[in-house]
Amino acid sequence: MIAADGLDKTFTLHLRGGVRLPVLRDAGITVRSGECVALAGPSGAGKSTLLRALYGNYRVDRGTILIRRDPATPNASMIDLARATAETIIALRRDALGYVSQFLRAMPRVASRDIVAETLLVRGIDPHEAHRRAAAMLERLGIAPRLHDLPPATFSGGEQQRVNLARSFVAPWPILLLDEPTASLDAANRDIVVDLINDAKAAGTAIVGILHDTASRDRIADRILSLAPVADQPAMPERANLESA
Amino acid sequence: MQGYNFAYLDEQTKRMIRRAILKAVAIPGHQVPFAGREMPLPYGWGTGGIQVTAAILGAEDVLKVIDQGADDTTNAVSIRSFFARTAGVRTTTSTAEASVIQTRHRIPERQLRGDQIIVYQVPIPEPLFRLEPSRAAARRMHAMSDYGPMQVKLYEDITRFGRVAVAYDHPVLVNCRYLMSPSPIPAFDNPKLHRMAALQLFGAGREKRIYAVPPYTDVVSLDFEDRPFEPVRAPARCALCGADDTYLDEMVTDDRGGRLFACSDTDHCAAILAGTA
Amino acid sequence: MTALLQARALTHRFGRTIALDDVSLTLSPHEILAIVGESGSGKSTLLNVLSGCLTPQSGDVMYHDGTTVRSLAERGERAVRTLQRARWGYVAQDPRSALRLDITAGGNIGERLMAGGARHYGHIRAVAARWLETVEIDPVRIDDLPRTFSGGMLQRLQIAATLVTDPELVFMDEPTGGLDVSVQARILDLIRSLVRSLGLAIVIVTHDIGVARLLADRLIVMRHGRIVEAGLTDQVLDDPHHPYTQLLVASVLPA
Repeated sequence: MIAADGLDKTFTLHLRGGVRLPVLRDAGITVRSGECVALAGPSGAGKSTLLRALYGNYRVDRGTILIRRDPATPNASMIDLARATAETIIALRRDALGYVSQFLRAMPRVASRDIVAETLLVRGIDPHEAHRRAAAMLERLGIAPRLHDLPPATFSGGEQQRVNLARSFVAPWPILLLDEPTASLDAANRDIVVDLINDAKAAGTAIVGILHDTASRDRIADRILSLAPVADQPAMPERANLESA
Repeated sequence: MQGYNFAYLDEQTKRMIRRAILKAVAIPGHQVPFAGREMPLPYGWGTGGIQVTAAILGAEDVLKVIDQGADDTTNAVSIRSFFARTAGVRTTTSTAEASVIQTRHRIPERQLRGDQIIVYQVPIPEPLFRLEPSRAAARRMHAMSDYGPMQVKLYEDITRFGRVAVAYDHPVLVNCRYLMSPSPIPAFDNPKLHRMAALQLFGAGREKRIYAVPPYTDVVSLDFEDRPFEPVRAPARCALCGADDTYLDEMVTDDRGGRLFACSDTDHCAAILAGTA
Repeated sequence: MTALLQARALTHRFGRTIALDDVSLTLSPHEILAIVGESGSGKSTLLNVLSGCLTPQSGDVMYHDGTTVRSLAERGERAVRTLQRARWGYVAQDPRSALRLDITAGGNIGERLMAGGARHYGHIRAVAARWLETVEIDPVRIDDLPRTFSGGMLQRLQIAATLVTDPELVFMDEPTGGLDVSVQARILDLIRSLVRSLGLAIVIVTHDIGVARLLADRLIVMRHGRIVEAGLTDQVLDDPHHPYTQLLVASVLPA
């Protein structure tokens, strides 16, 4: 579902006199349908950068990011996200490529149920049905019905993150990218999220996740991809990233 | 009359005005600028109408001049005797006998014929005048048939007053193309403009514009499908001749509130009384 | 998919000031494109050229009307005015300049309908009342003059008066400029929901990066009449490449 290869990414900070920060060098990752790969490594290793590059949020300087929309058609051509048009990426993000950020970016005035329902509405699901499923997902994540009509701006950090999670898990995705999905949650909610992730895997979703919470990580990850900061990497042309089962 | 050309204006000026008239007739409802001359009446007293009449008058014409329907008001009398002196043409108060009728603010009740010409005196030729103060912008609106704002004004009238409030000078669409001011004739007279057999010429002296409606042209008063244009008249009979289908003037008769209604068109009223209408 | 609008090599000067310097861009149907830049960047000039309100000194704007792709210059002033009247919309920064303050709210909303030939009073009123509800103005105010409306209400009224003809393309010039923050939020929210339900394509000029992030699919950053960076909104804002873009993003005050 994902086959990324040869990725280079260097940030040039013009506001700091053009200082160059190489974060990815010759990075790559492959993920199959129903598989979960966890990114591991020290801070600054490029985990977040790689994840964002897979979403098209960060632009890579070199390399290819091949994405397959539909696991059922293995012969269909894959799209190279690194070279795709904005239109293509937007279409992919609508129903093929999902991203769960670490924090909810709260839109002012929009009720939590509407935030969650939006994912379904843009796919053309009937509004009544969309709101029903949204409410159900919110409840599963422990957001009480009396909060459904409220905008999440006044919610606690944990509640906001659960709305954020609901927004992604309310719909099926071929590919899901998770950036610290359980960071602000208590143990009980972490379990619920682990279940949701495993359900998605069972449904065929390919998942890439960053989790510092090693307990949860071990319950969902099929493989761990360890990244090392570019400065520490040997300057050899072979792949600098290690894979371990 | 010594020292003056026939009908006061020199022949070159008449040709210039006739050229403007021809253009106006060719584009019904479109305002054509003309180089207005100084006339022996001030602006606001009919100089536009007088110049048009002067340009088209021939020795054999019979001229009638009315002011708000009456032949005997000061202005009507002045203008009629002006042409009698400078052109020596026959004048009349009879609509039926006239070949050229110059009018201020009314159309005669009697239906006009194809061999007659009616000349309207126009104060403000631009129907968009109040909606669009810029003349250049107004001209563009006419060019692009951008008449939405006028329809909006009618919408506002209906919203505020329950009906279209303009009692006179109700805007019309000529030949399905140009928005035109019919001059300050009462809304009651608007239907007469539609497919009139006579040629209709409009002259604005101060603004120096001429426009025209050729015979048998469609002239439709602006309205809404569900709020159609309705001509309005006082619900009364003429106190003199008894007519109930003419436009009436309301006249105060004493200082105790007494009033009576009489036909605004004096010739028509007299004809009814004489049995010759 | 054929582009809805395509600008090619637009260049325009005001006297010796370069307002647009070889600007090219495309807009797809249903897409929201934000043009971001500071004062003097040329963004308003660009919007005026794209919307047919200003003829560029060189370059052209191609528009796909569903049948053919032709430049605005080729279509001619009359055709462009007709497009502006019905199939396009323009939301100005100051609603007072775009609305008729001495015409009722209903009249303002109905104007574009009437300009397009609508002649049924009752029907026009019904449509106006519906739109007032959509933009969250109490329909009871349909006969009120905009003079009595607050700034936010005026802007919502302008939006209603613009969208009433169901345009496919809307140009917006700083639609939330000068409004209180809570009011801004309401209007942005309104625009977002209308975009989805009406399938509009929008070109929105703003100096507010937050507005761009919230509404736009793609972003163009302008400086001194040139496009310095363009791409997916979140990409340009999260991973800015051009020095000026990095400066803009770094200058945003955190909430």
